[in-house]
Amino acid sequence: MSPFRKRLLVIAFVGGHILLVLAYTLPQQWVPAHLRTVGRIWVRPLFHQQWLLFAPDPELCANELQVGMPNGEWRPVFAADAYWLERRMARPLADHVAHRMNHGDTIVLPVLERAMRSAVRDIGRDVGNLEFRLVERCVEDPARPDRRTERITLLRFSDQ
Amino acid sequence: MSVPQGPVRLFRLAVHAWLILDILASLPAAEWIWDRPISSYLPGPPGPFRYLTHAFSSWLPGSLALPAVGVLLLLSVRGLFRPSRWWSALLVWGLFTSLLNHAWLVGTGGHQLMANVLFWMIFLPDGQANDRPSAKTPGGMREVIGRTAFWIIRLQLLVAYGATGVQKLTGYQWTHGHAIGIVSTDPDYGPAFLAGQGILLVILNYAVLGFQLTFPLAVWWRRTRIIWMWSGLVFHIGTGVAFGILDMGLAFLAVYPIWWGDAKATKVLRSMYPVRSPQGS
Repeated sequence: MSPFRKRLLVIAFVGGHILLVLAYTLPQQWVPAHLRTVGRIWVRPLFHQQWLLFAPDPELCANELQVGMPNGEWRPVFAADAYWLERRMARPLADHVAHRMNHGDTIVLPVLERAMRSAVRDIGRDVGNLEFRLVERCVEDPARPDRRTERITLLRFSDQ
Repeated sequence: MSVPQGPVRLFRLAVHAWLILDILASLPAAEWIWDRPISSYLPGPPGPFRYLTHAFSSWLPGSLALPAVGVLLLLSVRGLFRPSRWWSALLVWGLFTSLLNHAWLVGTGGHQLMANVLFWMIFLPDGQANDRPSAKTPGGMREVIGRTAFWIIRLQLLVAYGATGVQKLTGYQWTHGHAIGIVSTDPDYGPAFLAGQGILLVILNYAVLGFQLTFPLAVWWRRTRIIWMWSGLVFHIGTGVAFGILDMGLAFLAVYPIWWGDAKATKVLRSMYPVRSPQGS
């Protein structure tokens, strides 16, 4: 194979792949729908990525899932002194629950419920019918982010 | 247009070192991450690749996740000291991606970046004699595949920065200078001491946005590449420590050497391995 043909092949492979990755990762409104579909088909099986940490905007609400203790107190599903990687799992879980609720779901998805109950399995062993709630601490005025209002929602599950 | 061996070897070392650090840092939470994971079952995308990328939700029992972590750790240590082989790279990618999808709640964008580059590392030249164009490589396809993998890894890093920067341009808070203020007052992120620093928050906001948007351009020239990579080091270590995502920041930094010049990378390798380069040459 001639060096020219090799170079051409490399450019074609690399260009095609990067084009499809861009079709998948760039803002939805920038990419034609059919190209986005092709990009998703190419990227999702092997190269899943979104790069959406704090993008396009950071979350206005700090979401936290809490579990009700037998003594009537509420605590985060991961205790404050839990290992940092355990605590880190709490936030995406709470964000998923909050997003679903803000889009009209009144019942927590079973897949998320299983994760929540798994996170408190040590408590659940001793106490039946655990209750969970979502605490949202939200910025009302982005220019004054230190002033957050708190909103608490008791969570409902499919078997309740 | 051949693939420079110095940057490739240094990049491989950095990626394997990151894998070792990531596994060791996760071990104290192994029960919650892998053994009896909080992340619930994900079926994976349709198609045959899910048997490779979602092994623990398609054909491997979850009870094998911890032994798989052990195998991944051993292969990563091997990657520090032994020449790279395609089968080893394939195993590392498959195990890492399956474990990541098994524990998706703990993953970050850095882990996704790693899953990407580990796949393409299977096809990178290993620096052995049979990588060079010769009669043993009919049609020179091995060379084409190696170069393709090299350039895709390089561009993948740029896509990661560019895409997140561009996504931020389509929002409101980043373009109006409020984003860092919101993040710093979020109890899960911080740092809280930044909360009252009005003008500093705005400067940091646009500095982050500018860094991410210009990185894909700056790395093409040596002088700007050095400045942007030092900025990236400060950015990733700073956000990593403040937000509790140091593993994500280090993943990005581990990919930087693929952009280094051959002479510089070879010099660093010689200082690390004065007797013999670790990747078999």
